[in-house]
Amino acid sequence: MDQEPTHKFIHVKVVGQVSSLGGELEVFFRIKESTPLWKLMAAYCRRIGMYEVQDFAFIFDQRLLRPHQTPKQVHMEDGDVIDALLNQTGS
Amino acid sequence: MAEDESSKKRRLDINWEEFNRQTDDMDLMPEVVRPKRGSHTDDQNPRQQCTPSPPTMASEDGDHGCTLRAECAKLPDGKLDEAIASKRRTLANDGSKLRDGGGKLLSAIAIYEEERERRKSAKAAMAVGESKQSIQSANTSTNGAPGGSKEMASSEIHSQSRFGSLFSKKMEDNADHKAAKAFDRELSTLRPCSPLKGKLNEDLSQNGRRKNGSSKRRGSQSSVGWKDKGISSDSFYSKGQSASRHFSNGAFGRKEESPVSPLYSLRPRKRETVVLLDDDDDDDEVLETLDCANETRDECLKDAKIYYPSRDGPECVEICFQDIDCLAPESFLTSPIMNFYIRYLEMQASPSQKATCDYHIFNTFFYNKLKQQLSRKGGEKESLFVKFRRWWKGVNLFEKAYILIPIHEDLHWSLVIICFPEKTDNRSGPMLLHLDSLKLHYSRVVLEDITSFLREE
Repeated sequence: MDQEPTHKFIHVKVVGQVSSLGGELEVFFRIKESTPLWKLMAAYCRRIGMYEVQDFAFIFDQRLLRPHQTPKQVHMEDGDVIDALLNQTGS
Repeated sequence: MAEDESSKKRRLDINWEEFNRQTDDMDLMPEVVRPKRGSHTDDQNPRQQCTPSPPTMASEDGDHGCTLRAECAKLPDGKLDEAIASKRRTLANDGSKLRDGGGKLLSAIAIYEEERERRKSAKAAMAVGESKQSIQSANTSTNGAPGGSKEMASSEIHSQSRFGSLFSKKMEDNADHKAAKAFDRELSTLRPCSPLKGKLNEDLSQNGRRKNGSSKRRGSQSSVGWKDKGISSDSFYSKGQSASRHFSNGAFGRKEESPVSPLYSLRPRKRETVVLLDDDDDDDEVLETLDCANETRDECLKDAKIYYPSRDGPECVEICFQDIDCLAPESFLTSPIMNFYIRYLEMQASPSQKATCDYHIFNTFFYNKLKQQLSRKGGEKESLFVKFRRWWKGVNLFEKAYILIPIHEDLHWSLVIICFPEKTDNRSGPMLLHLDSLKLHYSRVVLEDITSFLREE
């Protein structure tokens, strides 16, 4: 399945905003277009540490990404940037 | 049976009497409500031993309505008696005049909001008195009543006593919020599990719960279990005021209800209030989420996710069950909930055409992103701003009348509204409003950021 030509790889950048870690945090990923994004999210969180996937809102094109989506579904292209923003709480 | 029902109905009837009196003035008359009323009144008569029911009393009722309410506020017991008496009269009248009365009831519903103020004051007083009576009656009823009726009675009593206590409490808190009270009342009826009531009749409570649950299911909310309702009501309770304000009318609920009500026709009036809440659900985001949550909870899926408006929609918002916890009193609102509500508002305003809608609401992350953007320097900024434009891709910001930007900083939410004046008025630029409930944010800084954003754009 991996060898299918339609499943091409794209490179995306996840830009975090974790102030406690001192500014932005960029992580580059190489991901197949058909891979569900939760893999990317989990990998990002593993890289960041401290946080769980649920703590983040992954935003692409002003849309919240959902774990079961694939890059292809959201029309992600090579070089695109995903924002990883911490979920906000407040009164 | 008769006694039990009568006790229940008695309370219910009081409200209705008021309605009727008011409605007497009105000419509108759908018949739907009538049959209920007749049955109720019939039941009541046997229960009340002291008062005879002359059919001619209707006019008196109308006159007394105001006075009675006032009296009731002061004297719950006396009020109850009078209400009962008046009910009997109306009932006697009803037999012949049912149709008219029904129409009046409906019209009364329309007036309901206006009356609400008076009623609430009166009701609160009544509720206290009623709760006491209801407890007593509950005891008696449980002892003597046969199975089916018993359940009915217990549930009713249960709800009512709770209702009474809640009401009195609410009265203390704020006499002003009528809507809130109404909401509370509805909630109280729905709240089978509430601890307040628990003491009064534990043995009854089980029956009552069952009854409530089943009755509700019969009604409009077949998908929602009573359990969930009970649980949810707690969280709603705090929200009751705001929610009820949003949806200014319990009256709406009633209107809708009356046609639906054949199922309830044999039930005491209180049931109607139960339906009210359901109707309101459609309007309230919180309620809606809870409904969804309830469904998921039925499946025992704590991790269940809710997608709005649809799972596969391009702009759907996902919230999970835990997010609902943040709606509890004194807890922080989380961005998933906020974004959900924003999405909900957008859907309400423009279900199909987002582009043509005259306002645009950014999501809660926009401002942070904007700040981030502004903090950059030099040539990098230009290119990044191009990417940043994706955030409002397909939306012509300057053609909107309003742009709403939620601000989140320092554990606090506030809102900036950008108002674009009419195009003909070129002198004045866009106007910025910063709404901050706690005045915690630095409006100047926020507005500067927004201004620079506009300039950039």
